[in-house]
Amino acid sequence: MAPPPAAGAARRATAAPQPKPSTRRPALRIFEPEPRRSSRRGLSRRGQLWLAVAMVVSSLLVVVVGDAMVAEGQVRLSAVQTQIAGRLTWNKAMQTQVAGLAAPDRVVAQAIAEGLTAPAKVIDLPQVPLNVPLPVPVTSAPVSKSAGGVASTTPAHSPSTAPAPAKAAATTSTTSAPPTR
Amino acid sequence: MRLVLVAVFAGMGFRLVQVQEFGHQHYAALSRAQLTQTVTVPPVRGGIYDRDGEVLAETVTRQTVVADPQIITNPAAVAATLSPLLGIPSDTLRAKLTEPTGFVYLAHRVPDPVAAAITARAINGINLVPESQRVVPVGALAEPLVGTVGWDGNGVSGMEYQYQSILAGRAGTTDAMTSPGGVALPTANRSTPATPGTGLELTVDESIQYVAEQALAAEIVASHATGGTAVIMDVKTGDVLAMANLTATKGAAGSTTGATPAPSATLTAKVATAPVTSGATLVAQSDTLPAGVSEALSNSAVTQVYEPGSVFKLVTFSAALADSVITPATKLSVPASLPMGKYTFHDAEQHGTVAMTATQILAQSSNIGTIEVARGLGESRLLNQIADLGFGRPTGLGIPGESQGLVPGAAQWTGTSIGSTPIGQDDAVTAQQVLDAYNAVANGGVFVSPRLVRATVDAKGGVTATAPSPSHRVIDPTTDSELTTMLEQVVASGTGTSAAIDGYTVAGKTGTAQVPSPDHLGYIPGAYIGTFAGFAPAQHPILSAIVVLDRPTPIYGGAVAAPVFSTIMAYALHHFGIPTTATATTAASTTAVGGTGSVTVPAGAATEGP
Repeated sequence: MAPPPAAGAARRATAAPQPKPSTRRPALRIFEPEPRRSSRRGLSRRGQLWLAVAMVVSSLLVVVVGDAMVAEGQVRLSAVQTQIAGRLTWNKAMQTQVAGLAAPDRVVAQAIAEGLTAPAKVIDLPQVPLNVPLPVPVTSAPVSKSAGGVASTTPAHSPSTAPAPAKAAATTSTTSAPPTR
Repeated sequence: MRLVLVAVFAGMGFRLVQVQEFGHQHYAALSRAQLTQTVTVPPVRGGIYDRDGEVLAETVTRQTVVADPQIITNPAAVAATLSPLLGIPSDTLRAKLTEPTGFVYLAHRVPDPVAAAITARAINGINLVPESQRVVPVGALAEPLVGTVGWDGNGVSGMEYQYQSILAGRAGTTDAMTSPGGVALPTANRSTPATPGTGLELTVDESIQYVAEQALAAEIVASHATGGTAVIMDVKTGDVLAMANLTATKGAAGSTTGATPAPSATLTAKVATAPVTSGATLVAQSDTLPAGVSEALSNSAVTQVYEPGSVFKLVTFSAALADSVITPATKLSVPASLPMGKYTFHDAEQHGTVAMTATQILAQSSNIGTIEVARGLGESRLLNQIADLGFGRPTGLGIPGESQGLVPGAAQWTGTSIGSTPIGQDDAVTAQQVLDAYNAVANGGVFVSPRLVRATVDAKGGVTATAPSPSHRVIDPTTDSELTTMLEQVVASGTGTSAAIDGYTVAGKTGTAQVPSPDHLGYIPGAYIGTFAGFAPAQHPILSAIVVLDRPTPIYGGAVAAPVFSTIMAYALHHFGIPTTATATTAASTTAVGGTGSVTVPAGAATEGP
């Protein structure tokens, strides 16, 4: 569609030749690129690739090493557990062996083999209170040889046959006497 | 063409995602099922110990010798090598080593030296597999009480059977990954550890048990009895300190735990105790019992009932004293015989009509006098006292096969029951029941149930005490004191003088009962059971005991059972350091009452071993 004739006339009127400005346009220059500000930004694509690969490989290596250490630890743990089980088994075997050696029949048999004999009768000594003084030993007077006697300092009652203090004697009448049944 | 390829790859991708993302659990489970083997890990059975922690039965690991015949290239040489070690003929071993299989047992649970010798030889195709073994280091001591285990490791008798659920523990499992070729894969196994069994600490004292068996066995031999039972208890706690059950055998020497020879004479000679194998239990050889006596097959003290005879008169006199029917000094006219229905009752020793005090009637064990007392007491009162003293019901020990006895009720009474029951006929009781009744008298009239397990022991050695035995009063203190004094006279001047112990006062009662005929009414001619039950020291009792001898000669309990009682009780009193003086005993027992449930041993008293 063509523009109307009036509008075209007006455009021609404004597009009439103008006088050139007095200032000259500056000449075109070539700008050098600015120097690199940081080395990181300048890492080459190849370097980045190597870095990534190295990181992956090292990570894998760490995982492998860690796994190996865990496996080694498990082996050691297993060995220790086996040792513990063995020692516990040994300990239990020793316990039963000791129990066998300490069994009453073995003790008695060993005692008999060594010449020990069981007492036919056990007599308990009377329990004498320690706060009660023991009776004073009676020393018989010296007797002249002409009288047919022998000078003696033997107590009338030996300690083993001395009568117990009254308080004890009252409760121990059955202990020092021979069996009556 | 391009569309087809796209469709195929799209389908594969879809399937891949479906399998890997949505169905992976299902396929992983299928894989595990094919590669995983679930192995049951058996638990270690708990041990059984005496009151001092001495081992009575313990489970240890032994090595079982197995072979892979497919690997063994020279069966004859291997058989020749193993034969002297295992004690198995070379031909037998060679036959096993040539079987067309990959696994064969050669010997179960060999001794450690044998296992070590086989390991040292490093024979290709011969391996050792750990297996549990029940070991009884004390030989057959207390075998009817402790019991035995079977080949499967489960208890079959005694405490081993009774406490199976506690002793056995709980089996564990482990899931082992193996390749289709059977090679174990080094992966983390999922496992549920086995729970070890809980051990039992019994109330039994090993030394007293030994002495009780020795004394009882000697009397069985001397009196030509067919068997016997002896039980000793702690008066206050009801703890059973010894429970001996022996039987006479014909020509048997030592125990009857088995005569299987040890696997290797050469190697087992180095072992401290040359063992024999009885079932799955390794039992140390025991020559403790004299020839002709062995451990009974069952715990007769609680499983075997018998007519108790005169020891049952305790029931009659305790009720009569409590009801003031008599006093210890009450005089009664005792005739020579007492007709009752179609029966006539006599005393053991013939006499005319005599006047006897109640104390004399008990001391001389007069049947007629006791019946006269019972007549004054009455039927229902007597039956009540029988029940109060624990007859006719279980003791509470819970031992398998325990009998609660046979006590006829009022409905079963006949015209002669008032004559027979008071003197220990008609009723059938166990030895433990009789002892419980005497223990109640010893305990000031308080009945305390017997107890055999004083604690449980976990796998780490932790000890947990069991609950103390329940108790209740059955006799008032005044009656109990009078009854004790009367029972003292039985030992001092009556039928039980053989039960006396130097330095101690003893109270008790003898019993001589006929054995009922199993075929017909009446009794077996000449068959008697002699009993003595009592306690010491009489005025401040600490220990009670019963001794029963089956068909002894002489027949009287005072002649055969009382001396055994004296021997066992004397040892036990000395073992626990019980002072001979009454004042010392009083002080000690007073301070120990309500303690930890152990025997009331005086402070500072030394104990001694056998």
